[in-house]
Amino acid sequence: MICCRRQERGGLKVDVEARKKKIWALSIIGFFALVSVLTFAYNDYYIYLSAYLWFGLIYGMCLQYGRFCFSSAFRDLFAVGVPRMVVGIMTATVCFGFVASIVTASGFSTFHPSPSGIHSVIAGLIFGVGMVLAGGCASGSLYKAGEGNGVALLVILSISVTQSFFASTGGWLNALVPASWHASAVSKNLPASINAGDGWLDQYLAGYVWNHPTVTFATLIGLKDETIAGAFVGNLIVGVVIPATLMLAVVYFIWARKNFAREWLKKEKTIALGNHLTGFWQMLLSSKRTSIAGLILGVACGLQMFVIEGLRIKFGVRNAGEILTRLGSDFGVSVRGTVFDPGYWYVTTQEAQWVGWVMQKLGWENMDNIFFGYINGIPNPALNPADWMSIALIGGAAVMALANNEFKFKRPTKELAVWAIAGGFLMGIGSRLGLGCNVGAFFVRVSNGDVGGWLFGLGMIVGAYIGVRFFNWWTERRMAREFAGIQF
Amino acid sequence: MDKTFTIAALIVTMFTGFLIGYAVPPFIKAGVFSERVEKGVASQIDKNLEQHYKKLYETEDK
Repeated sequence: MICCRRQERGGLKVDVEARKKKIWALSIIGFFALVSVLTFAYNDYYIYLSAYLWFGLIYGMCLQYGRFCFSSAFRDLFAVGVPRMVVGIMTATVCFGFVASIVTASGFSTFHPSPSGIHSVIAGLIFGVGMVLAGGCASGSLYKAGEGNGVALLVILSISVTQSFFASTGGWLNALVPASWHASAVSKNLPASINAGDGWLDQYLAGYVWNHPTVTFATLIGLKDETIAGAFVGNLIVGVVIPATLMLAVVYFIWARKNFAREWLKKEKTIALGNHLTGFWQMLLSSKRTSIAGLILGVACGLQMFVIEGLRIKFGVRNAGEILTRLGSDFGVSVRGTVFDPGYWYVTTQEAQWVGWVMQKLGWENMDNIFFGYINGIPNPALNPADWMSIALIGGAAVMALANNEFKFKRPTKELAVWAIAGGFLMGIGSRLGLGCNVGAFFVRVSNGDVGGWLFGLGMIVGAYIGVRFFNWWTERRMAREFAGIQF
Repeated sequence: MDKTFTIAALIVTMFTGFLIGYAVPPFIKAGVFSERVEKGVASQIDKNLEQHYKKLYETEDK
C-alpha cells in the first residue's frame, strides 16, 4: 500500500514536471510570436528579421526531431558500425536537393556556389576531426544546446571565438602566408579600409580562394543552373542523386549488408541480387525520422529563399545591410553596405559575428579584415538576421525537447569541456577555411549542386574517421592506465 | 498527436504562412509569375545602386 502511494506520488511528480515543460515549450513559441508582432508593429522592416526567426525555429524543431547530427552519424558508423543516421542524412540531402532544384528552376534561389578546390577537402578534414572530438557538429551542437546540453553550449562558444580571432589575426601568422597569396591579395584592389595584405585568413581568401572557380554540376555538363534541365538533371540527378546513391551503396556493402545476410542465410542457402535490393531499401527505411526531418528542412529552406527574395523585392534591397541602415543601425555594416544575409539555413558565420561584435566593442579592430569588414559585417546581434535564425533554432529545438519531455540541463564535466573546446576550435578553423560548416559547406552546397560541397564532405568523412580512431586510441590508453592502477 | 506539439506547429504554420503570403505580392508586382525572366527576379532597387553592387560582386568573384 505504502509502495503504491509512493509510486503515485512519483508518477504525479513526473506528470507535473512534464506539464511544466510543456508550458515552457509554449512560452518559448509565445515569446517569439510576441517579438515578431511587436517589432512588425514598430517598423515593417523587422519582418525581414522575423522571416529568419520563424524558419530558424522550424530548422531547430526538425533537427531535434531527426537527431540531425553529423558527428553522431559518423561516430556511430565508424565506431560501432551503425549506419542509420548517415543513411538518414544522405536521404535528407537528396530530399533537400529535390526542393532546391524546384527553387532554382523557379528563379527564387538565393544560393551562390563558392570557390572550390583542394582547400575544401582540407577544411572538411579539419572540421571532421573537430566535430568527432567535440561530440557534435555545428548544427548538432545548436539543437543539443536547445535540449539543455552544457557541452554543446561550450562547443558553440569555442567555434564562435575561434572563428572571430582566426578572421582577424595577423602578426606571426603572416609569416606562414605564401608570397604568391600575399601578392594576389594585394592586387585585388580592395577598398582602402580593408587591409588585405595583413592577416592569414585575409590573404587566404583574397590571394588563394577567390582565384578558384565556382562550379556547379549543371555548369560542368554545359547547362545553366536556372533552367529545368540544369537544376534537375545537372544539379539534382548528377550532383546529388547519383553520388548519394553510390555512397549509400558503399555504406550498405561495408556495414549494413552483413546484418541482413545473417538473417537471410538462416532461411536460404544463397543471397540473390533481389535480397540485396530489399536490404538496401530496408536500410533506407530504418532512418525514417532523420529523412522526414531532412525533407521538411528542404521544404523550409526553399520557402525561406522564396520569402527572403520576395521581401528583398518588396523593400527594394539586395542585402539586409540596407535594411539595418534604414533602421538607423549602420554600426558593423561592411564597407560594401552589406551584412551576412544568406537567405537560407546557415550556422557558423553568425556565430563568428557576435563574438566579432563584442570584440569590436571592446576595442579589437575587426572591420579592417575581409571576413567581417568586406563581406559579412558585424552588426549588433540583436538586429542581425542570421543571429535571429540561430537563437530561434535553439528555441525550436528546446520547444521539441520540452514538448516530448526530453529537455534536461546537463552540466559539462571537466573532461568533456576540454574535448568541447578542442573540437570547437578545430571546427572553427575548418569552417573558415571551407567557407562554412557541415550545413553551409556541405548540406546546403551539395543540395544545390555545388561541386565544392562534395569536396568538403569527402574531407569531413576522412576527418571523422581519423577523429574516431584517435578517440578510440585515447580511450583504450586511458582505460589501460586505470586498470593498471587497480590491485585485484 | 501531442497537444503541445500541435499548438506549436499551428502557431509556426500561421506565422510562416503569413510570411509566405506577405512575400507573394512583390513577386506578382515584379511580374515574376507572368513573364518570368531567365535569372532571378526584377528588383525595385535604384539602377545606379544596382550597378554599384554588381561591381562589388565582380570584385569579390575575382
